Amino acid sequence: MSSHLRTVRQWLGDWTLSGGLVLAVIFLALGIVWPLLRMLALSLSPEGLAEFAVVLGRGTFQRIAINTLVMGAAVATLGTGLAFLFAFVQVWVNVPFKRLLHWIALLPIISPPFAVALAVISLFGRSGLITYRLFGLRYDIYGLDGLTLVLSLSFFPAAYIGLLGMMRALNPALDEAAINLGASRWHVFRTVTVPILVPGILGSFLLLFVEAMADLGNPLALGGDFTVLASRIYIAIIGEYDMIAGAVLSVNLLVPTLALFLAQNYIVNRKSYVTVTGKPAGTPRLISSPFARWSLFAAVASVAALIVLIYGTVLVGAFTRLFGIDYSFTLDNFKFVLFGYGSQAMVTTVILAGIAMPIAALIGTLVAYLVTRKQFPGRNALDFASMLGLAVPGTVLGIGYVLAYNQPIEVAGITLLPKLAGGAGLLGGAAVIVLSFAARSMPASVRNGTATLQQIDPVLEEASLNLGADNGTTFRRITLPLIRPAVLSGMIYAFARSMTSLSSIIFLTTPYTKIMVAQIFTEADAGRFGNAFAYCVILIAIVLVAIALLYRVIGSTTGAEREASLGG
Amino acid sequence: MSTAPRPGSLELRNVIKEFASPGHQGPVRAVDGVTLTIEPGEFITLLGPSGCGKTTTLRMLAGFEFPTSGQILLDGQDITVVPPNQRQMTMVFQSYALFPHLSVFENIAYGLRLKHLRESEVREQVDIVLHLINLTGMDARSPHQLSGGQQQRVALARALVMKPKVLLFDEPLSNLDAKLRLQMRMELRRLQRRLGVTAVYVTHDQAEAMSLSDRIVVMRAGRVEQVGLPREIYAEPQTAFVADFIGRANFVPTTVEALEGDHARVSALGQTLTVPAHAGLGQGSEAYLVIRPDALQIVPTTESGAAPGEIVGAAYLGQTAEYDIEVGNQALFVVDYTPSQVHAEGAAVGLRLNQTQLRLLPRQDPA
Repeated sequence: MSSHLRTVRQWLGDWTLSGGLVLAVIFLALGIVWPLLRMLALSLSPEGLAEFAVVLGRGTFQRIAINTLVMGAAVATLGTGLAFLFAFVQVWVNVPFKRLLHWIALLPIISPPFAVALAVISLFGRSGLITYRLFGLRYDIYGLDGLTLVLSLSFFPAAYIGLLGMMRALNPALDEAAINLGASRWHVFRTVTVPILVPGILGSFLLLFVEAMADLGNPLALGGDFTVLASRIYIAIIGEYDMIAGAVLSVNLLVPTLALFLAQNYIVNRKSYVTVTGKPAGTPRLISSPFARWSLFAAVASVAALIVLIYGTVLVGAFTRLFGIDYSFTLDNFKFVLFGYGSQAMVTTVILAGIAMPIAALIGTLVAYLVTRKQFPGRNALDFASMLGLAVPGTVLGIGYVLAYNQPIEVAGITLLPKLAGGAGLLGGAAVIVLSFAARSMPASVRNGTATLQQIDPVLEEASLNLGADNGTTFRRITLPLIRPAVLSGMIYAFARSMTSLSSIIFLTTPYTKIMVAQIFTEADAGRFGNAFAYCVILIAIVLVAIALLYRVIGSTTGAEREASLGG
Repeated sequence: MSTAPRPGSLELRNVIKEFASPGHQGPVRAVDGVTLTIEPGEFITLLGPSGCGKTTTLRMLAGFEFPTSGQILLDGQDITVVPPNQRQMTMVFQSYALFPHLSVFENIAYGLRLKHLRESEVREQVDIVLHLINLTGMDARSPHQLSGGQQQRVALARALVMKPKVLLFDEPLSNLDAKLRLQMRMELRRLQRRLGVTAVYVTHDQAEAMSLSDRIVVMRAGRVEQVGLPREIYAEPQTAFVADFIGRANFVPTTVEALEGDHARVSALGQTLTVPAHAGLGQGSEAYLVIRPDALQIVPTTESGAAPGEIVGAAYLGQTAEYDIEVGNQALFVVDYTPSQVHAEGAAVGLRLNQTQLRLLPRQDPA
């Protein structure tokens, strides 16, 4: 018997392995691969190819493409700069309110896409509280400048977390070695610290580039005449009902974002000198020059103040009749969101995101387990497909969903899958929204799971098998308890991302499945900023409550963690 | 234990294991045709340097790897591709592999619970092994609250409580400090004798192998180099590799001058010697004369029949003294087991050979 045949037999004999694999494959096929293929098929059909020629030839397309790249580059630069500044101050500078600055930097992670944009408009727009009321300026915030500010503030926390981890993991002995050889602090920074961090800096640059290019909500709210690819796709589908143009534009957005994403992945995984998980070998030497210390503090503090101001505006705006015109206090906005017409969206969104959360976390963990622990043909393909939910812009995936699920899938007259999308779809279109939520948030669980599993010696699983447990029991009783923190953070991420994502579901909401973020967009578009702010506040509150609940229910400490903390 | 398990017998038939290796053209053979029979109740050790295939062989016995070809039989039944959880062979891992999120009790009870035993029965059996390994009262602790030696005992208890047909050991003592290692070694042997269980033990430590085993399997580059009693492995090595890996040995190049029955005549160190012949060596064959340090004795130069030598290196160790002595062009490692006097470097001494302890082996690269 060949060893290959033996591997196949081993898999077939163990239903947990084969069942789990089949489940993951079906989920990825429905959630990612099939919609993408449908979108690609349409854009590469004769009509699509004809559209390509038309679209690419248009001057407007070239301007939009350039707009998209300029905006991506601007956000990547400013966002990486902010992330580096905040992380640097956390690790190497002794400043007051360090903890507080850290939490403020993380604040934008859980906010819905419009919160920052609407607050910035209210503060710095044509009738802005600061620009007009304070300085009498009729400043036009709509366009590249506003977008760059808002997107940078919205997306830099992810880059900040990454850079912070790398800086903390840097071995202080390297600094000490350089100083010992006669280098000054500034020289060490230039010749040792920054070169080691280059992969991390480049990685976060590319990450922010991709996020900015893929974002839809902010260009819609703040773009004005400054159209980018994502908002152009939205106009093609919603305004012009032109699926072919939408698909063709999607390919033009998909290719560069996917390329940048893969480059980012490669740099962070392969080219990094720093292991983020490593324990620090000593205490970093803090910056001693008072001038450097206080100017860095001033920079970080003013950005933090801006973030606080923005979120304060969201909160105050929720209690204000109409920001910019009528600053009187009101509870009507909350009445609308909590008890009025708007409460539907709140309930529906929480339910759908709540359903998607365990699906994303469990399938993501399963994929992580299969990919890190098991050998099987197609392993790399599974790994790649599981990452697509993160890499593919939501708008692109959204079109794919419309194309794939607007009619039932039939083979030889037998309905394999009923119509999922639209009000007449399965469960009023709710099923496809859950699928989209789960597919988009699963990659985080895969990443968390993979990183944690790599920390756990596979010999523990072998010991369990050796004592008579099968793969299923071993996964349940040994692996899962040990990676519980990763599962927990995967769930939190899934819920928060589902609650706040707009681009992937904006084409999928139906009158029966109102989604909060889409409602915020509608309210803001109609000029009812008060309602939009109230939605944002409630949404942030729901996410925070959910995080607290998850911590209570699942807990975050395991024996392994306790052991690690004792051992360290 | 209340009911002693019936120890199992193991048989490996021409077992080969190949791994795909990115750096190499084609697969790499980790185990290259191992054939071996292990009797019920026997303590057998797989001994060899790292990369010799001993751990891969053990992992195939446990079922963590499946052989590329060949067969493994437990009590005469083919278990070559039986999943690891259905083998009735429990293992003590090098890193202990205690489940960090479970208490000592739950670690030991883990396998029993999978058998769906009644709670009282689980309790009783765990208590028995806890007593057996002197850890009574520790059952509520977490693994990380135990010392290395205690963790080692729990790992052993977890394997023993399953009453396996065969116990597998993967370098279980290598993470302990030297003193504890000696103590655990004795305890392991005592327990295995008392329970009568078949044991397969992997190590690269020859002292461990010599002191624990009924028989030793010396492995090299995926193949079995020699199987034998500890005394045979030391005193009658079949290859230069075995002679070099087990204990210290001097290899003196020589040529078989004549064969006389089961003895051969060779010249070495300026003497003509009669030593046991080797099946692979005919008249005129190039060979190594293997001289253990204990076959050499330092005597005055004046003694008749002694080979004249010069001390080129000396180390006094208290109980013994070690010397490098040059005889002709040949450097010899010599141990003085009763160092009443210490010879200085450069001193002229005589060396007496104990001819019955000499062995003739084919030329082969020593390890």
